[in-house]
Amino acid sequence: MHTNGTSATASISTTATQSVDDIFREGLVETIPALRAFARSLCGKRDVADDLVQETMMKGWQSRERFQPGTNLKAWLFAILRNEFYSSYRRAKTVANYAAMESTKPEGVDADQYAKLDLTDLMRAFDQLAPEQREALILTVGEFSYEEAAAICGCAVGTIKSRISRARKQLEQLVEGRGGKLAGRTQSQEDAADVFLKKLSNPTQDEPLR
Amino acid sequence: MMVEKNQDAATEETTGMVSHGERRAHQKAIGQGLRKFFNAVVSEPIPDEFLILLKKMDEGKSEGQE
Repeated sequence: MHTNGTSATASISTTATQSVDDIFREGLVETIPALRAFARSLCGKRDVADDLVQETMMKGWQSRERFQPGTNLKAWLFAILRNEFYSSYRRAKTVANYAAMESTKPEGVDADQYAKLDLTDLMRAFDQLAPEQREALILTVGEFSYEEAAAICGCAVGTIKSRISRARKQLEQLVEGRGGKLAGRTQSQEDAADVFLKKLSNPTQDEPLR
Repeated sequence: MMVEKNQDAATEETTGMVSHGERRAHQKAIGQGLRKFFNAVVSEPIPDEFLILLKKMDEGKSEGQE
């Protein structure tokens, strides 16, 4: 454990220059919203996801000396979150295989709900994907390149790409399989996408997602 | 490039009554929907528990070093 610069951080208010720890802390705070979004895409439930982010923050803070300044802190923290998720996921899987199977069972959707295919429905389909597919989709939606996503997941770029491709195909089938038409039988393709997007938009914006 | 190829292959497998154009529209909508989900969570206010944790981390640090 090195102590370079740490004495200065004990009295932050009196020092003009930022210590390594301060910079790290700032980066950590800035990354919280994206970490919460990534965690929610992995865990589904808001409270479970937020717990995972807190674990990640503590782990990251404790091992901050292993972070190389100048490299991508966001990616580093995402990788920690991912590791935390998979270690508890594997644990949960052996214990609760049955529960997991239950949760992937599509629930009955009535004709009325087919009509309003919104973001909730897309995310319900999303929850049925394997976690490897969900993370590949969300990492690349959330500002990472394929290369960065591959580095975070510790796999090849090609693997990320094929996971995304398969996941997208499955999402489409899942949403359609619920009786919804992703884009409907509308005039032009552009219109069709717009119609679907309107359906996706949740009119009750105040509610937190899921 | 590779992704597009894969998507085309996937499209051919499942093309029943859905046209290429419709598939493209579906995929576009899926991408936009996922981005929308991500952005919606990102723009949620950070709950207090996170700020409390940060404070604790700071306190733990100065306690440990003084």
